[in-house]
This record gives sequence, structure tokens and C-alpha cells, in this order.
Amino acid sequence: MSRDLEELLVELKLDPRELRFGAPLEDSGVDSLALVELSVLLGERGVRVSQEELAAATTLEALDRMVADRLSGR
Amino acid sequence: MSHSDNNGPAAVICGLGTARPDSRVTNEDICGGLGVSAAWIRSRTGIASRARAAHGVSTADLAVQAGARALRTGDGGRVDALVLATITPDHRCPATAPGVAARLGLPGIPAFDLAAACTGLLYALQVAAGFIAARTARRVLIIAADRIPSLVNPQDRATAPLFGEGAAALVVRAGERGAPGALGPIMLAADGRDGSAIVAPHGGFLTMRGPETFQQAVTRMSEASVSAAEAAGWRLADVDRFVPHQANARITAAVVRQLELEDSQALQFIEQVGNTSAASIPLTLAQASADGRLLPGHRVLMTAFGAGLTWGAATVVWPALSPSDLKEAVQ
Repeated sequence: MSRDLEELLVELKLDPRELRFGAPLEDSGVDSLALVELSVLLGERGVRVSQEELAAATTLEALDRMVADRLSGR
Repeated sequence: MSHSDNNGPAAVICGLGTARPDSRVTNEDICGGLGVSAAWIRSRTGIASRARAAHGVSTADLAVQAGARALRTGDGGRVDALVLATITPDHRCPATAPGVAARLGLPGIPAFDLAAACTGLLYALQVAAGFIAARTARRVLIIAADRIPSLVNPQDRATAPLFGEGAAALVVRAGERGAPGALGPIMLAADGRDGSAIVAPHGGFLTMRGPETFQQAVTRMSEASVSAAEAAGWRLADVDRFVPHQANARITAAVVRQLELEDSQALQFIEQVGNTSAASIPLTLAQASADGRLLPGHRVLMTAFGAGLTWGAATVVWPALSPSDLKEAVQ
């Protein structure tokens, strides 16, 4: 997992040891509200992500890829 | 966003009272009907139970109880106006406030309802401050009373877990700027372009687009808080107690994070009563005063966001209220 996403998730007070890379997000404690919280944090970093984009990332792996793409393209 | 800046008397908080229904609806009571677990509700809202008035208790009943307590804890002076912040009035017509004023022994004073949803308390404070600055009134009773569960579809998991019922009231009087209890500049704003995010049509249930509401709440409360603190000449680090509208514990956490405040600066009072709409800020102030988290001299930054969309923020240096007053206020 990228350092960027790990930092964001730690900021949301999720425990990095509990994160399951290939499993559904909920298994890592990333619920639907956490995705909204993540979009707020990304917004602070100048990256706008729609709810549809976030909802399409159903695993931590997919979320990691999406966040890395968006942060690199900001 | 606008705020008033004038040279008239300041509005100074001098009385506080609450009406907190004793009954509680727990997560266990509602989770089955929503198809989720009690833990699911708790993790997404920070709420364990919601205050619920007994059958037949009206918005006016809650408002009268809170208003009477605030008047008893105030300085005993004559109240010249009553502003009732509510979006759950007892009737379409007339407004609820005149009847509340009459039941409080205040017939004849101007009394009206103010509908700004969860931001209602801050809007009412600004109206009261305007009355006082214009010397239209020397003392104003502000009551925030809402029964949002009466608007909610009990099977809607986006709204049903959130709301409790309650009322709280403040007495504000004319006084000097900078005195303990004197309100700083109040920041208010509204934007109806996004109003469909939170709607309760006539005869229908409240609906809320959750993710959009969450994002807007965090952004708007953060912006308003920065503006209100700046207008008061405070740095955010100077704030002793941050009192956001108690919408959802995770919204509060996100605003605290965005403003880079310490968790210890933020007051929470949602776990046992739920989101009580316009009443949530004064209910939190009363509870924190009673349990010692909020002390005289604390620099308090309040902010709210609600349907409309409406939002705002205000500052106050918390005044000294006697322990017996506080006990009375939160009974």
C-alpha cells in the first residue's frame, strides 16, 4: 500500500495493522462514511474525488490505486 | 457569509435552561427494523441512544419547560422578545412562539418562530443581538426546540438513527462588548442551491443525501469557524471549547481534524441524546457547564450546519452561572 493512503487512513484513526489489502473495505474498518471522510481529506490536498469514484473502489487495493492516480495527477 | 458589526449594546448570555426528555430510544430498540446491528449505528454516528419525549408532548411543551428554566436562571429582568428556533412547529399556523410566550407569562411581547433547521440557535442569537443592538429589546429569550423524529421514516437508516428530541433556551441581555457572556460577531450563511440535500416535504418524511450532507457540513462549519474566530480576534489555538452542532460524532471529528484542533477542545454531547437539531448547541453548553467541562472564562467557538442549507458560527467567553443555576438548567 502506498504511503499516501496509509497516511490518510491513519489520519482517520484506522489501525494500519488491521488493514486487509485485497479484502472488501469494510474488513479493514473502512465503512461508507470513511470514504466520505477520505474525500474530505483528499479535498484538503487539492484533489476532488466524487462519491461515485470512491464507491467504485471496493477493496483497499483498488482504493490505493485510485488515490495514487489522483494524487499524482493533481 | 455575513455578520453584523455595530456600536450598539452587545448581547450577553445571562440565563440557560433545558428540556431533556427522560425516555431513551436505544440502538438495540431500532437496529432490527433498520436491518443493521447496534454496533453499525454506533460506529457511524457515535450515538447510543436518543432522547424521546413522551407521547403527546409537543414542541411548545418542550419550549415552555426550557424557557421557564432559563428565565429562572437569568437575572430576573423583564424579557422584551421571544425567538423560537424550530422546524417542527406544532401547527402550520399560527407560529408556536406566541403560545409559548403566553404560557411563560409573557403575553404581549413580540414572539415568532425562526426556521433555520440545525443552525436555528445561531440565527436566533443574531436576531436577538440585532434587537439588542438596535435597542428594540434589552432582554430576549431564545428557545431552540425540535422534534425531528416526528419527521423521520423509522425504516430509513440514513435518518432514523440520528435524531433525538429536546429543547434549550438562553436569555440574552444588553451589556458591554467583551464582558463575560458577550457574544462576538456571529457569522451566518445559507445556500438554497443545495437545499435538496435535506428535505422534508409537506406530509412526507425527511430525506437526506448523507455523503453530500457530511461533506458540506464539514466544509461549511470549518469555514464559518475560521471566520468567526478571526472576527473575534482569536486564533483557533486560543479556543478553549469548540462546540459544533451535534450532528454526528464523525462529522465533529472531521471538523476538528480540518481545523487542526485538539480533541480535548471539542465538546461532544450526542451519545445519549442524539442529534437534537437547533437545541444541540445549548444542550451541549448546559451539560458541559454542569459536568465541569465548560468553565467561566472559557473562550467558546460554536458552529452549526443544517437544512437550507444553512450554517454559521459564533464566539462567546463563557459567563459565570451559579452551580444551582446549572443544576436547574439541566434537570
